[in-house]
Amino acid sequence: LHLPIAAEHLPGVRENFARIVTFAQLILAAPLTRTDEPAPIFLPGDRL
Amino acid sequence: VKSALAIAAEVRSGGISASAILAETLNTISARDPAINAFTTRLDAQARRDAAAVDAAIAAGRDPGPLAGVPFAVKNLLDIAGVTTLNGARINADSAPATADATVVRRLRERGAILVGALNMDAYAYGFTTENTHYGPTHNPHALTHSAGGSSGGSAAAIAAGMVPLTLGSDTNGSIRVPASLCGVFGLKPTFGRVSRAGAASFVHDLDHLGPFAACTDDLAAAYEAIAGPDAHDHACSTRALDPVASTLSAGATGLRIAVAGGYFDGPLAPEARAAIARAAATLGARDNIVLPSADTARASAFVLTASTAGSLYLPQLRARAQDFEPLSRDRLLAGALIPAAWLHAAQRFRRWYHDRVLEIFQTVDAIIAPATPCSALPLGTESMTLDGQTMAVRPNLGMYTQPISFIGLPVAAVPIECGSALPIAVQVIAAPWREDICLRIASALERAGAARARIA
Repeated sequence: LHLPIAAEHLPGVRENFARIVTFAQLILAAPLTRTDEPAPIFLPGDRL
Repeated sequence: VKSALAIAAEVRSGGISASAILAETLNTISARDPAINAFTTRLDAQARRDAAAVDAAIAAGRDPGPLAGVPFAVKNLLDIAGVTTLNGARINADSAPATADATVVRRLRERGAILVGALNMDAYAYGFTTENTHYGPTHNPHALTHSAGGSSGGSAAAIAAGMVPLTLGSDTNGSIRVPASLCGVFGLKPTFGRVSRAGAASFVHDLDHLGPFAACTDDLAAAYEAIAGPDAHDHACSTRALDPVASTLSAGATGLRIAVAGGYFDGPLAPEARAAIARAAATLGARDNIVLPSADTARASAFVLTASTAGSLYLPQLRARAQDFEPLSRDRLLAGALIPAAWLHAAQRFRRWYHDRVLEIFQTVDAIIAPATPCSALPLGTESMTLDGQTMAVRPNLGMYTQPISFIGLPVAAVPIECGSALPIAVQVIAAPWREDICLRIASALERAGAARARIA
């Protein structure tokens, strides 16, 4: 990502990422099947 | 405080001039805003020109528009021609001024409304408290030491302080509904795709909604009808024709099947939030509870989708000048930029699953009542809150009940309920996609029954 993170920001970034991990665990446990498609659908020609 | 529709009627009939209304409005803003900090930009000169044009149209016998002379203001993420779009952030302060009004701003001005300024917000619309380090916090008009909610805090506070009768805001995860609740005013988050976002700074492109705030349902409906409808400049804006809502309000809630959201939405809640739900349900005769399946996962998905999309959107500036970002959201954006693609993809797949399950519920009910916020306004700077024995951080959790709804783009009215609480609080009235009429009919029914009322400080 070429994203430098200053030392003084690291504790806050870690805290926020830990919260995101908690939420991600819920999502990854959702009962999805291989046929469940993502919500946004690309529509060819939708700007025409 | 006069309603927007009362002002328009009086101006259109020649009872008072738009210039006189504007002068009164500008005086009120000068008197009230220093303590509240809702406005970040005032447009006095432009507003005087616009008001004079309305008066000239009336003098010449021309129609000045249905919202003639109605003062309004907009969240500062909406483009205003000639003004730099701050989007709440110092990193945008040196950007070139916008060259045209956002579609929603243009539509209100075309109908004769008078734009008087731009309003404070959380930086990048990423927050629920309008604690803006660079432009100052917006203070709640009902308790100046307390938060107005966010991210459209200036938009809600400007109504609650009686400075203007109409404002616009945005709602990605609850940013209309949370401040409407904490300031005690009406807000509407329309269906995703119903209101054009052309000329609005993007935050999370497939969750961003625009909508109005007002002090009564009639004004809210009139503002919604003015700004909604197809717009070729926003590819996500539906081409579906706009159904009228204002003319349906008198139908009230008669014949509507209304349920209360249980499960995830049953807590943690402060007593005033429970009291608001109980009052609304009792007034509407809503006795059934329904459960939105996996609403906690919906909230989690909205959280991850927001963090990832916003982190990606701001990645170039985060690389170059992270030190200039709003301190209250910089670390969240940096963390969001690091989210693995697999998590984002799973959230989007869950979104489709959840959408389909929730729409099944609307086969048996027409509307769902849910809390808008877990509690009423908290003092500025509050880091944590304890509700039903659970202690949690304030800033990420004020929107815990709004996120699972906007995640799938449903229309929602935030309706301030009179439940005996010291500070205001609202409920969400949620309907199926494109049924803003149902949200507003129920809001109107609650208002006419005396259970809902905007509090103007």
